[in-house]
Amino acid sequence: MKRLLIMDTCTKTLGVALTEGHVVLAEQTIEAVQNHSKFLMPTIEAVIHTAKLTPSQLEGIVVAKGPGSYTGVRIGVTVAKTLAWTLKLPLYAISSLKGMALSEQNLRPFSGWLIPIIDARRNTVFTGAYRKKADGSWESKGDRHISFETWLRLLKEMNEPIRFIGGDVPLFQTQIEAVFGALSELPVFSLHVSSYVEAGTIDYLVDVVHDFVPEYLRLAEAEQKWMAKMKGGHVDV
Amino acid sequence: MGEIMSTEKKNIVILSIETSCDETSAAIVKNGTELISHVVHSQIVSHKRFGGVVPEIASRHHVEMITYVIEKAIQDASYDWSEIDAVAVTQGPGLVGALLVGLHAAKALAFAHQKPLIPVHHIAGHIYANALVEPLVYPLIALVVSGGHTELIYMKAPGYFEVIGETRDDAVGEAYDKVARKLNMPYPGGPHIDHLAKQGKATYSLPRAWLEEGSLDFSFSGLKSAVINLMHNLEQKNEPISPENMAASFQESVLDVLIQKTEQALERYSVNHLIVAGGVAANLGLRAELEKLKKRKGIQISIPPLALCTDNAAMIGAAGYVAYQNGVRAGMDCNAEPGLNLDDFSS
Ligand SMILES: [Zn+2]
Repeated sequence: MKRLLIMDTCTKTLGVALTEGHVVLAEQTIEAVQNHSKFLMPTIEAVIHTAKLTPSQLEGIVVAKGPGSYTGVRIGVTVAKTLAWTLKLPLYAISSLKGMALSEQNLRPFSGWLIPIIDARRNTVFTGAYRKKADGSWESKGDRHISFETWLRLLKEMNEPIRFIGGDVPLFQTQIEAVFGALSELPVFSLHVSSYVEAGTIDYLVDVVHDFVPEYLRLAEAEQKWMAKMKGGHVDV
Repeated sequence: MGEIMSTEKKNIVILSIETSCDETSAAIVKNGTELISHVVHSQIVSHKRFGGVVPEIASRHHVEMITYVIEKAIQDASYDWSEIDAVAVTQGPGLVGALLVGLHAAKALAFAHQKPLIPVHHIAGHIYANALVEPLVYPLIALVVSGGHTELIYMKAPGYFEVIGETRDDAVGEAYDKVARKLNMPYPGGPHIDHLAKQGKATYSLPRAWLEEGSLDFSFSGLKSAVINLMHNLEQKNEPISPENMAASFQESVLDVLIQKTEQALERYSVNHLIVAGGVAANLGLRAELEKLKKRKGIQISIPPLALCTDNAAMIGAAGYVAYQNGVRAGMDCNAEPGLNLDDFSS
């Protein structure tokens, strides 16, 4: 039974959990964290101490690798890779979007497509589509950074049951309703990183911990402009 | 437990990390004076294409390199964690996203191995780079000149910092970079201007910003603008511009102010040891002027070797040792402070 430390700092929600097999030893979720830098390590410390464990008793690290806030993602990835490397533990990386889908599915199971939304500004989103199949396995349509308008069009064309999830959904409510009609209720979403324990499997294992970097899903702005200049074309942001 | 009396002082070994700008660096420093291992990974090649450091790119590179760099520092030293007493890290000032990577690696290591975490001020690091070469003689004055800083600091004792002069606008290295760009030289421009200045003469008349009577503060943005305006006017009139003479004129104006203010500080605080640190300390023109100052005042001047002048973790280990001895510790909630004040950092 693997003892895993799980963390997610990709959005405004900070989640840290300690699990053993499928037992949650301790979990803390803090909403609307302005500063993961101040809270991540104290929360990890608290969760491990609550379970009366020490860092050396951990058996694996699970981290949400992005997409999300660049700074938030980097804080989580840096802590996770440093812990995994120095404690010689396996590191497992999960998409922050899949993490949202797992959290939702645990709390309010849904047979259609779960559509996690993270605001990426300028009316673009980090998003994907996840569905838990009858046999328990997950299928996905791939994470992407996309204009919300285009995304809505693609989802409409898909013509299958969907549910938007995530703390940023209210920001897009008007646009969603313009395409899909009134949402029956504003979705209540809460992140539970203990549900990422599913990521503690071989599929998510990071091969070389040193080389592990966030999944930004987007180039830095300076790089976008530089690439555009190199190609002699216009900037496609 | 029996009481063990030992006349031998225990060695204090510090693992230090620095990521405040575009160098990912880690070091092992013993007793604040002995450099056991030192790894610096510079990102400059990546930033050159943008003509300067791009904060987001710097942060991304730090994440790529951080554990490689720390592992190499530990391996080169052949130390293990039982021999390391504390983890020191740059808390600020610097680029916040860049600082956060080093800080979080440091916090994770301190937590994983249950070692004290020592937050270090980047400028304290630049000053203490000298402790790796020769002992500091207090009280002293430090002149810190780099791409991000131009400061005169008075230190009456170890770990005590009083900023007595600082730039009100551009840092001196920043002015060098901007003038270099105007002269069509690649980033970073400082060494190019220095090199060019040696071949020219200060024939162009450029201002010196002395500011108000008695002030030890600096201002370089006026000088930078004066160079740009002068060149613009000459171009308008189709008059030829000598880049060598322009570089020499600019450099003379900068050095005049730096040297005179430093001399004033030495007199006002009657100290006998001047430490010059930061990337611009590599400037040959500055070194020549400091040599003259040394003869004129009969004082000791220390400039760390080039590898310790630019940003590096060795200096953070040296400054971290002093902070460690003074009881400075940080908790797991320690945050990066991009505008960290040196006066507040005094221990
Ligand atoms: Zn520096």
